[in-house]
Amino acid sequence: MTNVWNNPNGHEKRLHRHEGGNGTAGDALPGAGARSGGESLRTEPGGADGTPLLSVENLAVSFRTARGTSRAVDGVSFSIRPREIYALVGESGCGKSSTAQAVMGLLSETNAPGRRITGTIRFGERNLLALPDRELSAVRGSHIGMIFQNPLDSLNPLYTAGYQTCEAVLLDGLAKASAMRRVLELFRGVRLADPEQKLRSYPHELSGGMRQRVMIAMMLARHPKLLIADEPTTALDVSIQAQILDLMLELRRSFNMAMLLITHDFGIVSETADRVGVMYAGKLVEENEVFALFDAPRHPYTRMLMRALPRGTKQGGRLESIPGTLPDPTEPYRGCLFFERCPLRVERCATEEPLLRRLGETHRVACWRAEEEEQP
Amino acid sequence: MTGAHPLLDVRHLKKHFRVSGGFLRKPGTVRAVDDVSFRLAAGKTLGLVGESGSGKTTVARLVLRLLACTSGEILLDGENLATAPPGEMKRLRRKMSVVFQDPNASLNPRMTIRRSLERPLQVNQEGTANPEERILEAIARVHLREEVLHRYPHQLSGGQQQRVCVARAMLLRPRLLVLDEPTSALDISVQAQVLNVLTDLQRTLGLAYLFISHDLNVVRYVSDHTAVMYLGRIVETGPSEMVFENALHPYTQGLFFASPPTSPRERGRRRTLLSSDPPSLLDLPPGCRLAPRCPYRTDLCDTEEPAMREAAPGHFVACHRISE
Repeated sequence: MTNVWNNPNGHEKRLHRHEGGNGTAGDALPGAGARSGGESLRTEPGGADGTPLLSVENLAVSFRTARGTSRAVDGVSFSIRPREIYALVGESGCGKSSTAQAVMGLLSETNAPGRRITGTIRFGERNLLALPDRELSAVRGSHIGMIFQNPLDSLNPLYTAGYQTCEAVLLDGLAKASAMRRVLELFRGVRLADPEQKLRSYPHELSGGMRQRVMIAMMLARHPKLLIADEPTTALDVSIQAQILDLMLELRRSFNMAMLLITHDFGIVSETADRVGVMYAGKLVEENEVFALFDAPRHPYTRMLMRALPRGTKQGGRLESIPGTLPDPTEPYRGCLFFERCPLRVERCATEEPLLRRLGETHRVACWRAEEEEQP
Repeated sequence: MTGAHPLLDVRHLKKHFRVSGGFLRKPGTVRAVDDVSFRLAAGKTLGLVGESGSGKTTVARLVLRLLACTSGEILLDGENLATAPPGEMKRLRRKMSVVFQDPNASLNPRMTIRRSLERPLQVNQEGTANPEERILEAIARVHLREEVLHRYPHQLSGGQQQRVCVARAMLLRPRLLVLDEPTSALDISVQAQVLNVLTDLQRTLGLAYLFISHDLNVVRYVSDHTAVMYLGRIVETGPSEMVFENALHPYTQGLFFASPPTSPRERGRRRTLLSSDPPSLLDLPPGCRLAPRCPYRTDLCDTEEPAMREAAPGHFVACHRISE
């Protein structure tokens, strides 16, 4: 595994380009120069003083639709520290993917006409939302990697896996022959069986798990500090999902990579996350360190979701289901968005919106009744 | 598996698909379902688990006779569905019904929910004297309100749509319901609604469920018996608590070890037992199908397919490691 991550030449070139390209000193970027040796760019930015790698503040994303303006993300704030795996969980329509897409800069005016984004997304010292396209592209290309649910959508069917991965490697300015060797190293690093042959395989010749490994290799070619993974294993079978999760955890260890993990699956969260943010109707409703969140969820939505998961047998009792449906994101609202479905609601909830507030050192909850010990 | 007269008795069921050769493709035979036998008693649930390509959905389609089997018997209440002539099938079909994964694809977008529910009654000329009563009863059983009857599918949430599908499947009072990944497309909270409705219906109407899913937690929750499929074969079957508490086949163990825990406290329990990907169905290994991925493989596994053996009363496993 080791030689995969060692590519001092590439690092230096890239750092150089940044300094020259936009006049920002290398150390304005997260991680640059934080440590000595060839590992420097890959280690955490200001890890020692606890500076976050990514910090999202008051992010709001809305889309103009035929029925009016639809709120996808509504004032979400969170931050991710270096090496940390932060999971955003929630059900369909909660805004978790829109949040990820905003961070990745995928909601440009051309990609998503009619969208409106406000707030700040700070990566190192830059606000990604305020960067011109070319600079954003440079930051993304060299510091933020992404993988998605369906790797087949992300791979070009007309080129071999080796060729496509090589494009990412060539950005380091390597010669063609050494680039191909590096692709091979990457393929070994992501544990692709028979990597020489996979170089020449087309996407359709690979299984779902292998395709996702190729995507990971491609992403690693750029030595990112942050990986955004949007439902990376949802389309895969359980045994293949396990292999990919193992690989992602291994990469975090050997690559010091932070992750923003978007998922609806509490099992994957249990297995991988350090901290968790639970989203509902475009808002972050609860956030905590993963053990504490599972041990003592405080928002009624989080509690109900956890009790809705089947564990054991039906003789063990009924599952909790959440009555009602998501509020219409185009309708204006007052008070708490979970009001209609909440078993704990009181009068105040109908008129005053509970904002996310700190309950403990690691814990934030958006519920008026979060402090009450005895909850049903 | 249970009592003397199971409602559904499937014996040596096979479905082979011939794949014709073509550009860059060799001709061959895909043995999608290869000698599968199981029984399901009235009022009980059999969970069929397996990953993509295991043949679980093909089994469902064969039982419903949406596909004709290559060989074998499918006895529903003692009558063989595999050989029943078309006229007979129409009568036999009323004893069984189906709910698919994607409710949005199962409901006609141009019909109101009422229309969708009237159709099975009209087609089968049943309850025509008072269709309204039957429809209202069905809707109430899945905990939906009367208002949904005037709606179109797109006006309902995924969970409501799926409950309409369950209501429709119930209309003709079948005895067997085939559920093919009925909650896989749904969110957790909605999945809970549908599972609760299914549990209630079984309790009040004594329905038998053939429940197909890749989600082990869901299968464990709903099933009395569980059968695990791998590449067209059942590799392990028995009462759910035996299969889940004491999995004996390496594939079943691999599946359980691979599935993520339900709480971070169990983190690290997961491990990878099965390496690589399953082989192609067109090119199966000569001995045990799991041999190339199995951590316990011996020479015997490479040459001889293991037969089903009873490891404990009612608990059957197809693995050479199990001695009688």
